[in-house]
Amino acid sequence: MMTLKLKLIILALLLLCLAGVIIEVKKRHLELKYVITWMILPVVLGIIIAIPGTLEWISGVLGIYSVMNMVYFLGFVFLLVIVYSLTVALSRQSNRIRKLAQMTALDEYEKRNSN
Amino acid sequence: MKKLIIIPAYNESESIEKTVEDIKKNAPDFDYVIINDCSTDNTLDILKKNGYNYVSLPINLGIGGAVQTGYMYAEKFGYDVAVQVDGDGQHDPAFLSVMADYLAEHNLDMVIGSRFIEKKGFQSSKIRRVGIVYFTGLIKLLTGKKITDPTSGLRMAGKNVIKLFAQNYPKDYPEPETAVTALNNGMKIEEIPVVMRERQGGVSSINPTKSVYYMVKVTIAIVIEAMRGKRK
Repeated sequence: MMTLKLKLIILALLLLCLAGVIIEVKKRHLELKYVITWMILPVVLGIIIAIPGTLEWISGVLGIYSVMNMVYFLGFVFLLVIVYSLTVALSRQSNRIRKLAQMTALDEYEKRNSN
Repeated sequence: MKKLIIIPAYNESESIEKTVEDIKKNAPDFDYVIINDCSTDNTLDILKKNGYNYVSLPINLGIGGAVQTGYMYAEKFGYDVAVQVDGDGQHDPAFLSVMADYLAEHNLDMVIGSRFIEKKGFQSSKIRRVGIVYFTGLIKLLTGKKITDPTSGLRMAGKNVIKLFAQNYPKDYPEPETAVTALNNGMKIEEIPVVMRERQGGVSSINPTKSVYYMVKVTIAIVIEAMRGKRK
């Protein structure tokens, strides 16, 4: 069971979270592509928490007795998914940087040896 | 007036020669630069073989990065006008002089070639048209300006917009977002009717999953862009 007080606190936090992320994108500190999950998540969570009975229904579907345990569990799963997708993006970026470094070096070689 | 055609090309080995020859023949008063977005097919060999003017990116950046490179080239070499012509043959170079004259005559910052003003030629698939109508509405709502073909890649930029885009350009699906960016920076944009052709070869890079991502991402991007406020 989630108290109304807790629900309101969480909703307020989610709103702050969403606003913070939007502001960072607006300032061009964050790339929109990676940040979409962080935007959709508060919205989805907000809806789930706001609509009464949703939390209990999801717990039932998953076979979890305690609503709070379900919240922790799903929160953890989503975090893992996000971290994994960041790992994938990071790997890709490091490969691209390596390639850039190599090509820049070869370009510099060519320039140096054409004089 | 120094005029540049930016031709972004990713794996366009089937159509790039035709596109470039078409441009050389029908828009001889324009310079051109092909931006090879690290193609994995033999596009680069074709460019070298024909002695075309090109810039070759060392890693693949996507359409946004490639076109932005073109705008940086335009700014670097002092072009007055830069227009994007896709490497897949959909854009007809015959319209370029018309666009350039229109831009100069009406003292505009940007001219977009719209397929939907006179509704002639290749009108794109039904699904895409629904998306396009949606973006037209959204842009009108946020900026007050009606742009009938917000996803059109056939767009001509004056010096102010060249500078703007050289500094800020979205990574992917850039067209609707950049229209809003330009409008929010006080740029004067108008559309003229053009006729586009079907893709002349190769494969489009957009599929159903990507379409959903596209709609969501561009919507959020446009809303945030509009939030950046109007600057004169």
